[in-house]
Amino acid sequence: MALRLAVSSALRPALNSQVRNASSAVSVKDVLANAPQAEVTTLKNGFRVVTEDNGTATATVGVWIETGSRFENEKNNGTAHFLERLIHKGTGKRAAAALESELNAIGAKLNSFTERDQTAVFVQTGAQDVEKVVDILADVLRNSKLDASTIDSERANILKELDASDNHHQLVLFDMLHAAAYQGTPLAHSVLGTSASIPTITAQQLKEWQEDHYRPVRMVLSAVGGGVSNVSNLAEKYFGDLSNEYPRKVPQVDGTRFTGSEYRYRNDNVPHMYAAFAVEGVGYAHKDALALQVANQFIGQWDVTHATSRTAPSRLVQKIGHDHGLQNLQHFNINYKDTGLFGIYFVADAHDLNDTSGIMKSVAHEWKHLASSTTDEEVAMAKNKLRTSLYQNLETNTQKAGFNAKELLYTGNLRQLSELEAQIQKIDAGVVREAISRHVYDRDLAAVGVGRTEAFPNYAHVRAGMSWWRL
Amino acid sequence: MLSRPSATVAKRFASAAAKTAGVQERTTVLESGLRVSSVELNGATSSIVLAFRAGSRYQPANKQGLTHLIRNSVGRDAENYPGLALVWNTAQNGGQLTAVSNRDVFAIEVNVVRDQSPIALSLLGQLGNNAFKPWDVEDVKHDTLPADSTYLTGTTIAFEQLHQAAFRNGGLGLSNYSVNNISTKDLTAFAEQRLLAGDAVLVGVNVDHDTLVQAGSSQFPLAQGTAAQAAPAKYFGGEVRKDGRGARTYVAIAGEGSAITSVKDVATQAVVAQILLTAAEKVTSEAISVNVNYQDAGLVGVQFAADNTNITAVTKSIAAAIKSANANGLDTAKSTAAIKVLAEAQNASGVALEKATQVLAGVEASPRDIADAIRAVTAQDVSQVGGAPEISYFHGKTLNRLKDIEVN
Repeated sequence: MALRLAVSSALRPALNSQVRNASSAVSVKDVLANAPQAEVTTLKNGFRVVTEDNGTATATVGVWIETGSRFENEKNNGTAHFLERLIHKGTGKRAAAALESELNAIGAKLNSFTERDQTAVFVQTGAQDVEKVVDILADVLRNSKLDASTIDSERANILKELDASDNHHQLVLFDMLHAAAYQGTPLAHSVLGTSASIPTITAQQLKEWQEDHYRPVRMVLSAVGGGVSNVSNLAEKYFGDLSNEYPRKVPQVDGTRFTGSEYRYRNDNVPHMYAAFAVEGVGYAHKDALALQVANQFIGQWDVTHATSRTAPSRLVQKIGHDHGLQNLQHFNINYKDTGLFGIYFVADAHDLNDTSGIMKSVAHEWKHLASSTTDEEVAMAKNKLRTSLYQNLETNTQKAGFNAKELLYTGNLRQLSELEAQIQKIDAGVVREAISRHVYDRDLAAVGVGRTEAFPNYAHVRAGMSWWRL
Repeated sequence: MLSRPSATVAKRFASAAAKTAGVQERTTVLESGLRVSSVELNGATSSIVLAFRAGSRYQPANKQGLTHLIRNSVGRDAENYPGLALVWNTAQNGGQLTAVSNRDVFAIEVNVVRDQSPIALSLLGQLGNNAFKPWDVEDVKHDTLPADSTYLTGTTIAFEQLHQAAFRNGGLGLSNYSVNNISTKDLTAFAEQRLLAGDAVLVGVNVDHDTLVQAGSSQFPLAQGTAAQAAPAKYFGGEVRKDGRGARTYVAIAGEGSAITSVKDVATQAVVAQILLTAAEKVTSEAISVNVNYQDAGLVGVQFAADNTNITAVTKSIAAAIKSANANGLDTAKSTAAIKVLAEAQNASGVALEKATQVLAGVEASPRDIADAIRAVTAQDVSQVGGAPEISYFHGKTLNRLKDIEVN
């Protein structure tokens, strides 16, 4: 702490000369207040459209769908992702090659991804080609061909990827984190599926999945960029006749349940120990969500290729960036609709239990500090870091379209960035302390390790350290 | 004093401009010789870049890796302020500090929430005034260089070797990474010769121009003067291979491209790069584009990776594919390349670095200018890249092979 104060006073001359400049600069508040506003339209069938016309030369148009692996069970695990992959393989109207060449002709490409709770299908295009893109999106989402030979070849690809995914240790780690934290609930399933489930998924199941999930009330069409002001009319034209009838039952997620637990996968051929420790966070719309997002910035991200370690702008990194065999450190705060994970991910040499326990001791210390004695000055720093990264990650049309869609799917409402800015400004040290006390202090952890886990920190020890200061 | 309100940029924000006045792009040359450029994208975060004409091509031939050390020294002590103070205060204001370099340019960048940009500017002025204290240099060498070399990816190594094959012993062939016995004296000498106001530019995206000019004239203690010009680049072509451990092999193939100074040639090269990428993607989904323009030379081609057992077959197929690539897909390639340029123009950090590179090379072209030039490219332009149309992109074959040394 003394070091920090010394630092501030040392810089004072440089800072003081700035005071007169600051008044002439346009503030974030002004910029966001004048930024193009996102507008929401709901079609008669419940299909929601959000458009934001910012006059740029390109536009991103896509459909975000509430589906994903948390709607699956052990037997059909991987169906949502499988179906999303098949969207690229042609429709009744357009064969796969025709689909590709039609998009290529306008310089566009069909992108898609599936997560535990959503599938997104979107296209980045020139502002003049927005209607064509909406037409293509409607076609691929409504008339996918799903023929047997395509399904089988895609199945082979997925199985190959599943095989290769074992080498992506971080991916495996986060799958295991969900498997441990949400054991016995659908959020435990991985997005890719398993080598047992993928071979058994039939064309019929995929078709039924599409019929059950790609329903108007579960979909949001999001468009950001130039030439998108007419998109709500286009949505009416291409999606307005989509019916809300469910031929089977309405897909629902079973309740969520977080279980404090430990899951280790020891493999000494992996050069490091990959570890994650998380408590249950909050859902996207929870009142503490932003406070936890601010708290998430305190530790932030660091790895050995950063040029700073002893001079890093994080007390934690200054403390443990050396002499603990640490390679990479990343704090995370994942929000689903109704639950979340708040915790730390790190990669370490793990030659010695003292090193790894030392890392977790310091992290838990930082959390306890946040719960009991964080100051407004510290929170101001975290807020500034959050604002920089938040707004920077919403610069492009694609990023903003994803944000708008997520807001609607998760909360039913849409915050303009100016509202978000006001909410962030309201957070002070007291709010952070309360949120951390509620959700992190003395809470059970899900602990997972992959690779050289012989020196994995002892669970009981780390758990006690969530409230004992001397551990 | 040079001031250039840009009509093209204003047009790009036609509808936003109705609500927010003052969309512009301006460059001013200060008395010290420092050029100051601002671009307004109406974003909530600012990207501020201090760039020098001091990339790896300027390092003495027997001091490979000097720019790497300079890059990693950013954030250490300045003459009057401790490095910790600079780094911590940058973070306190929400600034994300990065140092980057390529063959032409060495740049320090701060991305920061817009309100804090004046303070970030004052900090950047000091961050760009490194004292290169001997103990700091030793720390940087010891603490950061081994980790960087451990985490170099096959893709990066292949890209570096590609330059060696293309430009041999010329400045552009020098590596941005490899490390020799660099001393504090070497760094200081290099800094005295190259980190000068006359060879520097201060770019601010989403920063008020007057604030930028004021900061540039009062808060950037740069030595005056200009540095020696680079020896002109000469393209040779050739092949470099490097063996390593690992199950995958990384290959880069490229031919001679264009200098950044001609908008038309840059546009043509972007289209050629897209045609080659499309051809390569038919062989492997892991292909990426090589499309770089330096101040007096360029490279255009593709990079890819495959398992060791497959690499020969994949390389042969890709070589065949790009040899037979022709201007048939020209319109597609033009649309794709134009959209790529326009989409990248949404990212303030990318715009700031691009702007800095342009100003130092003595050219100014907005993304919209480049996209328009791309749309105007003809089949004849494409076929003239390197001469004979079919193998033109390939006639100066620069091939490079290397097995994976990636640690993961």
